Amino acid sequence: MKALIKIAASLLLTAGSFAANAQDMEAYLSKSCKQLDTAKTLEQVNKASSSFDISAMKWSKEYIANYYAAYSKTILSFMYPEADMKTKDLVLDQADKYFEKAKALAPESDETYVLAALLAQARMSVDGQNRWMKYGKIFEENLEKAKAINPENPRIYYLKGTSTFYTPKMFGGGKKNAKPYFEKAKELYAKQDTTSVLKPIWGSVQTDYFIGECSNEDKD
Amino acid sequence: MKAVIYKSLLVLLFTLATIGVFSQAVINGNVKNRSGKPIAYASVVLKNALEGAMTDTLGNFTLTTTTYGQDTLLISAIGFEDYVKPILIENKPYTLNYKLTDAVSELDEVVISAGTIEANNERVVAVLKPLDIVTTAGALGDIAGAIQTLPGVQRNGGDQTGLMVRGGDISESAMIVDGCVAQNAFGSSVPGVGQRSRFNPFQFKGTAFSSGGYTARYGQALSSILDLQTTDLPDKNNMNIGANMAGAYLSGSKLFGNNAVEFSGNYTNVAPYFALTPVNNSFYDVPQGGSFSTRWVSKFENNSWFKMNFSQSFNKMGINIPDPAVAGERINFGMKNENTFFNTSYKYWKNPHLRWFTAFSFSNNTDEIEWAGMNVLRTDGRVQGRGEVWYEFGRQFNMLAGIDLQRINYMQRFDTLVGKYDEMLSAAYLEFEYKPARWFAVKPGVRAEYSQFIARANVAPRLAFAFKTGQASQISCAGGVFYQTAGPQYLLQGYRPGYQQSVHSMINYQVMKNDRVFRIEAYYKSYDQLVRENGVMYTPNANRFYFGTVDNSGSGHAQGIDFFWRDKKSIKNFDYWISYSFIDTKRLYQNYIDKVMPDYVSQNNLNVITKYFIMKWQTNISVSYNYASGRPYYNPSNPEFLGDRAPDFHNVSVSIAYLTTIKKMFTVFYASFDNVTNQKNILGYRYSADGTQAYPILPPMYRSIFVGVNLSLTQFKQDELP
Repeated sequence: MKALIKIAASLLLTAGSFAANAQDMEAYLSKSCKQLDTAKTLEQVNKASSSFDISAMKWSKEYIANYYAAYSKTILSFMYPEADMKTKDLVLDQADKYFEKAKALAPESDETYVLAALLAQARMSVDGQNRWMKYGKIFEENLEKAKAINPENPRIYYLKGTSTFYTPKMFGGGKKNAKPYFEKAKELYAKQDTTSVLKPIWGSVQTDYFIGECSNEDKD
Repeated sequence: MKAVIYKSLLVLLFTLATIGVFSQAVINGNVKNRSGKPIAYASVVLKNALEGAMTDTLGNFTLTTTTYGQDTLLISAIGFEDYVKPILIENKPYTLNYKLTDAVSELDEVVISAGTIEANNERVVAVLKPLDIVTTAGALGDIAGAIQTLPGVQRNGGDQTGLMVRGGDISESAMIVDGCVAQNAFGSSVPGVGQRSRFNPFQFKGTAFSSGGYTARYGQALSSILDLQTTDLPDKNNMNIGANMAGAYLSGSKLFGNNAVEFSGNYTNVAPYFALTPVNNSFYDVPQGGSFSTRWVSKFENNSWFKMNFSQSFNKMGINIPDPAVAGERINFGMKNENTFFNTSYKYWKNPHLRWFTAFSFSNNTDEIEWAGMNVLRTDGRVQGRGEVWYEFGRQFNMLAGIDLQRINYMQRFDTLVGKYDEMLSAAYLEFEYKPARWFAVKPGVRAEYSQFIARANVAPRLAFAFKTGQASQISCAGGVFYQTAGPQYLLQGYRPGYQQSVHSMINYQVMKNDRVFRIEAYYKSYDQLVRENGVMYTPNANRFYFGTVDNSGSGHAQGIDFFWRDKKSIKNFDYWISYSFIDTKRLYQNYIDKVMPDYVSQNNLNVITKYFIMKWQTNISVSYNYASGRPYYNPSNPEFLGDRAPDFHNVSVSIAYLTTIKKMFTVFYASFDNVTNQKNILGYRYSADGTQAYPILPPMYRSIFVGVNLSLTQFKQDELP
């Protein structure tokens, strides 16, 4: 009996410390996500992104910590001015490093493929004219793979929507063509469990924004 | 008991609270680069404590922590090496200043650029990409036409077939496709009527045009190399249909995972084109023809590729041209051409440091010529194999070694006279690249060749180096020795001259920043052992067949300066480039009687190319202006050989492309207007045998209009929105 209690107690303790660790990370990431979501300036995004650097350092074996670090660097690359192509690429080089770590931890996850697509989109947008051929293809391929694993992932349609949105109308893009993707994404975002940041949940607010934009007619 | 517990709890809480409020380490600091400029947005992290801060625009940061003891401070900033330092955190304030070292990035590394204009690395400002070629007014959608707008290349008046680079004639340039020589890169030549290259710009993902000092991988070109790499996998399954005033075509591609099949077929008939455009030469048999091509592409692990291309074409025409032999007379010239080109290459990356490359090509060409009622048959063939290995010994040092074997045969039957020869050219090459610092690179190489036919060998050393002079600027130098065997016209008649030689040296300054490129390049080339015909009268007839005694006593030189400026940045959707070349060249070769500037050279060449994309109208407009100072021509009554100069050449051309989507098909309507001002360019004069009558040499046409449409249908994915 005593032995049993001891085992139970030690089990509880171990479980407890695990839980504490996970909770720790969740709390930390949750805080950083809020920081990133509310960041508006380059400085604020930079700050949020460096807090993800810290979590990726601390929980370097955790998929989600590396995932967010890569994600935040990608978002950061969008914040630099258009002319600063070199810095954008350097930031994306950092994103790539985190991405590779995340990919090694969960190579066949739909979220990994979505993240790969997002990275390709970011690389492409640095120098669209010269890069669309290469990265456009990588973008599409990864979204296809993500869809094969989990067609219910709203970020697939959100990303497809944004790329369609920014593609000129004459190449089959534009607001009208992008809208169905955002609507599909919105439908799936509504079903998404948003109680924890341990699974990626980004994109919902942006989707609403784009749906608003799409209801205006194409001007060009 | 309870009270005791409460008391001690209170004490504990109080202690904790005081620690929380009063006791924390504060680290104030500043982060700068090596030259003392503050670094903004650097992240400063205590690894153990997991506290982080970020520098402001002045490089200042404040970091607080309550976790004491041994820790590691990590400072990282974009574009700099990480800074890592152990630190003992105690309950006290710190003031620390750090300096970060610039990170070495691929972007900052020096790239050898002398002599070569490349467009295959997406991180480098591309100089000439497929879309650039087709949207350049005046290039007529032809690769060679677009290359002619680059510095160092002679503006062709439309009467020559091929590329003339830095004083070199058309025979001195070679076109390479996936590592193998394209033996008949241009349509079979017609005297006085320039032919387009056989390739479609969209076949290629990259072009590297070398106007001299090129790599040891290639030889047998005294002047220049145009190195083309075919495209990788297509994006999606697609189908293209097009029609224009010179015919119709159909092409498509199908993807199977990492493999793709592509095919294309076309029918050409220029009758509609000539119906609208007056031609300076009349056709008794309007050019028409057809071609078929197919390719297979496979992608493997580690960016390894297998590519196979095959094309077959038939063309025929009959044209009435000025007689090349007798000025003032005209002859009928008929041509039936059949061409086969097969090319395969395999690039295999064993690991990131070791790459194998093998290529094989086969080509066959037949020209049936009707020359003023006489029949001439010409055939030529080439089989080429290349095998090479590239190995990187470390970041600083790599090596390329390879062998290149070519078997070439020519046959010509003129009435009952038959000439033929078989050549076996073997070559081996070795090239090193050494980058001891990111601001310096040196690339020595050597190529050795043996011609079985003339039983002679040559060894050609090459050298290039470059160093950075600033963030975006560099100076680069290149040079080497280049050999080429005599042209087939001599070899077919049984002459056996030795190698012709040229020695190049050039220096280049280049600034590349934010989609703007400035290049200036100065060069000196000497020519030696050029083929000369002795004991013959000069005649400006390129198709002469009496050569006298032929030896290697010719020589010459070329020196000049090339400028290039391209700006895609200053005005949104506006792209323009300006190239200007000045050349001073003289040579004594072939049937020349004195060392003079050759008759195909313009001393000054200027090209201004502008492109504007009007988003609102979905229309791309390009306007080009080309200028070339007058070329020398032969006037028998002028005691100075080739002392006369033709009038200057001017050409303004406009092309318009309208892009739209019609029923899911991406559609482009295009129209191009060449020589819109209808400038009556005269390229030179030909004199009658007695020297009393002069006949102008005219381009094939003046003002011309060309319109067409291209429809492209990408496979529509119905399951995309379930």
